[in-house]
Amino acid sequence: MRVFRLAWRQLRRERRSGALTILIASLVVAAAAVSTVGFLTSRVSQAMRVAANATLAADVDVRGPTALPDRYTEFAHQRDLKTTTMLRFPSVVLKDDLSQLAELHAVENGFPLRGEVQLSKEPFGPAHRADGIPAPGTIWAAPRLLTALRAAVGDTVQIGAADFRIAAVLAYAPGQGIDFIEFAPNLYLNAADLAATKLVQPGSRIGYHLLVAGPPAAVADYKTALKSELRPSDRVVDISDTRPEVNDPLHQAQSFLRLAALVSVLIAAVAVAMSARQYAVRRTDLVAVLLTLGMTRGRLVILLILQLLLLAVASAVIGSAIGYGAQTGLVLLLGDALPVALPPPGWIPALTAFGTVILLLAGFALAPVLRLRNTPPARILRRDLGPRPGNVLAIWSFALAALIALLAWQVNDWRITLYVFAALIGAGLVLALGSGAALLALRPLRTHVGTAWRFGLGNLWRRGGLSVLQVTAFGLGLTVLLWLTLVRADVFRAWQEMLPPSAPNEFIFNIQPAQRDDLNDFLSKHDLPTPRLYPMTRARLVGINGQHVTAADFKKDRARHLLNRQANLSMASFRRQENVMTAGQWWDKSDYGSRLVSVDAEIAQVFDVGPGDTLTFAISGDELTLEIANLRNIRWQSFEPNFYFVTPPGVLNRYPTTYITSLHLSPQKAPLLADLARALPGITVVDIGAIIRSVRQIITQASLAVAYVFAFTVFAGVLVLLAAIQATRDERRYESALLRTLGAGRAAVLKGIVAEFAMLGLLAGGLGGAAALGAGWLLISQVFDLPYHADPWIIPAGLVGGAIIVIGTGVAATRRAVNRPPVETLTRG
Amino acid sequence: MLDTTAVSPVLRAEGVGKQVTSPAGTLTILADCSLEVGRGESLAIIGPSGSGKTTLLGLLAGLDVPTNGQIWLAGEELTALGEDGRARLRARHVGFVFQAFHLLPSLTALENVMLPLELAGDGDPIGGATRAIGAVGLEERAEHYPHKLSGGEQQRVAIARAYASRPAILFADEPTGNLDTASGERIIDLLFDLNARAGSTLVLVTHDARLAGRCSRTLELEGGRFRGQQ
Repeated sequence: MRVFRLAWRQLRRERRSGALTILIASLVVAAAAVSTVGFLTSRVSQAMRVAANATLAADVDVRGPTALPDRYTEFAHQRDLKTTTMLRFPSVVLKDDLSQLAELHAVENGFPLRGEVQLSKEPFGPAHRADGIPAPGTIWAAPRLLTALRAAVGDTVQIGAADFRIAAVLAYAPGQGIDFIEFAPNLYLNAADLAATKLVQPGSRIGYHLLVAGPPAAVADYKTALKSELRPSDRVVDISDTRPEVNDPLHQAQSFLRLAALVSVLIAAVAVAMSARQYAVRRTDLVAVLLTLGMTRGRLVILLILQLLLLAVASAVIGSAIGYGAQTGLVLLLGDALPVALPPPGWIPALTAFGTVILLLAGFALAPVLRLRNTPPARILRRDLGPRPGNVLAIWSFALAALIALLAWQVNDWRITLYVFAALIGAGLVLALGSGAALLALRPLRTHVGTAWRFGLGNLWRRGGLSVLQVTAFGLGLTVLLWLTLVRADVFRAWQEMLPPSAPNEFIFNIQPAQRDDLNDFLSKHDLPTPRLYPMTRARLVGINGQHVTAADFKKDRARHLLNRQANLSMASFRRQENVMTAGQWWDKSDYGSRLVSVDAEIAQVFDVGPGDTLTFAISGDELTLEIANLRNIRWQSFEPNFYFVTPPGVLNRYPTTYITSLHLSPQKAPLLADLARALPGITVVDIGAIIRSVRQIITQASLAVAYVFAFTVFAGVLVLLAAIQATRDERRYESALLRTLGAGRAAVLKGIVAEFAMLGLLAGGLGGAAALGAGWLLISQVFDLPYHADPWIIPAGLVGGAIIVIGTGVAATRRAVNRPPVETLTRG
Repeated sequence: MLDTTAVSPVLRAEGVGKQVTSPAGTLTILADCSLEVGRGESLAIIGPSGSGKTTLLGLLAGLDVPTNGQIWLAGEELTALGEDGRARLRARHVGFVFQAFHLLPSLTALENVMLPLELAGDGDPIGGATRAIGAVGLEERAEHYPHKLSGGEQQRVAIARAYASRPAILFADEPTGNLDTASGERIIDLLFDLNARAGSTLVLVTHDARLAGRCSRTLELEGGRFRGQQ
């Protein structure tokens, strides 16, 4: 306890020491960066998940072919999760002498748990949010059903044994987008009416759904608990299983946010290392006195570690408070951009911040501080005696271990971790070697410049090692800033290019071969471009390399899912540009008619197949075996129709084929959809504008959040600079006082300082810009897998930005030294 | 009251005092010090540690401002000038030699000597500095950095720096304090030799009786006051 009090008192006494302030500030910045991103991602990703889950109508959809066991629901209620059930099955709907097959959804109160149902008074008319579920005796029907039955809102239709009044036109319902290649138009009715229809009989083809929603932790727990209890026939579906195009940017945005925070922490680590060294150096005298007065080295070590722990707690608390405030500010800033009210953040991010601070101290401060225990007490007599130099290897291995641990812990993605690590090491080398070489090369300059510049540049050369360190550390900060700017620009450019305002927002399915010309005529009559039509044949994967396969043969959910449903085979003569080949060759004309297939790389991985393997499909009672010619990576973000399986032309000719296409309709032209549905009976039109909007929103949120987190990177970079200035503070005070004694005015001294920092800033900015170009290439082309646009403006931007920030910070931090009264030269021995 | 119409002295102080205020109260370091030093004169200020010698030197050279009293240096009233005004005055008229040499470590010996010439706006700082460094016998070491020079050599560079701009008055603060006896002797010789050749005024603060003995005049400070002037 006495040691604790001593530790506390000493820290309090040293709070005015610049080194301690910078050490704490660096830890606080790291903690704040980590906790801001932690608080924010936990809230926003929950919200984004909620928004994305809206397309599923729930967080989790448990599906089965027969009535689901009650325990599924009990599990959910035990975890305070909301549930509702839905039955889905196809049935004929009658009106007068007309009939149409529809996909019935019998829903209960509470539906949808996520998202909202949108209704309109007439097909494709203005939509409004639905209140609750269809009243008993009424239904909501999709436009195509009404067209087929020549019905309107208010009319009565017959479903099974019961009559229903059409209460509204269904404009959008969550869950609709999931398997939107449905042959039947959607219809929603109240589950209470189901019995009256007498449609639910033993043997009926009914999909039973249990929709579940609630806090993410409880949902995750529910999914885990359910896994072992699930009947073989049932499946648990959540957003990550359904829409790849929603899932992908979500995942990338999170990686990007974490990366931004991590980089702030890494730069703060440099500042921690520098200021901890200073802090230790400044405490050498005190330690010598303590040892002289009889403190044992063991107690000294306890004292030193205790002080570091106190620093850690204080910094983590302050940093987390700042992080909490920062994310609250951001949430206010985002305001309406957020899809729903954000759930409150948990405590985990504060613990993460504490862990980060501890790691930083252990890796970057412990070694120099513990070195103090080797201080010879005789230093009290001879000031030139210092602690024995530490084991360089030990210091570096501490730092390296902490660095790797931090990266691994915060990134959760080894691929990105390794690339970032490689990029940072590369950038560090460019900066260190580049600045060392530049200082040597510029040395002859000193005879051609004025006093102030000679003095300023002279300082750089004299403190060669420290100058290189300053350029490297601050340059690394700039590199990362410029690098992230490049990456951000490219990632958003790529997203924008893939999602231009004219991105397709309507999918049209079930176009019969004979309707192709009618569709084109209709579109050209209304000044719409002729879209590309993709042929599509429904097939089921039944064999791999001659072996018959069923869902039961596979453990992976994805594989079971794919084998349980119909797949769509398409035909293409050329490869779409945005889909990158990962193995094998695309075909040429001589292969037309050959039984080849191009397979999505992810699917190939799921089934562990590659070029040369064969896949057998069941198509309309026939079996067709195709040899895998190549694998492709599909870019789902393009919102063009994409297919897991594509054959060369001529292979699918003898099988029933329909066509699918996507097109962009401006809001003014949206009413045309009703005419289109009338002109081409039987087609299905799906409005994916809502999905696109949700993806756009996610991108906007992510970009704002990332820009916000950049602020911490800047702070961390400035702290490195301050730590470096702090290290030379005493020298600067002395030199400034001496220059003024010799008759230099304040302006002349300032000029020398500006010269020195300008040179540092230019070197850090120029080299940092160059390093950022290289690092940007690595991250963008290798990690994000996007086309890289090397922007040469990064270098002049780095030069100017570096000079401005370094001169500004440097002059602000050394201002006090310039104002030092010259009389100090007399009092310093 | 002194007669200001007489041949004006290079340095004059009148009723100079210095107090510092601390939480413990006001402490008087110097009180009512008056002196006059004429052109070419050499004055030693001696006294025990804590008597206020260094404070007085700082005030006389314009490095600090007195709490009361007035100081004239080279015909200008120091006490009426601001910080930068005093710096300009020092650049034109004042040279310094310190106990701790105080060479700028980032500059070579020659560049250190050039510094006051450049600050005073001299047209040929390299020429002037080369001559000055020759005068102290260190031509060979001109391109060396201070940390490569011995203590005696560093002090010779400091003396070259002090005389390079041909100052009207040179202030020296324990110039031999950090040197062994032999080096100290050589430095004393050099200092007085250059002072005689340049015809400048020398004001030095010292403990060293030999050094004080070489000066034309000695003032002894005790408890912040002069003891029996002249």
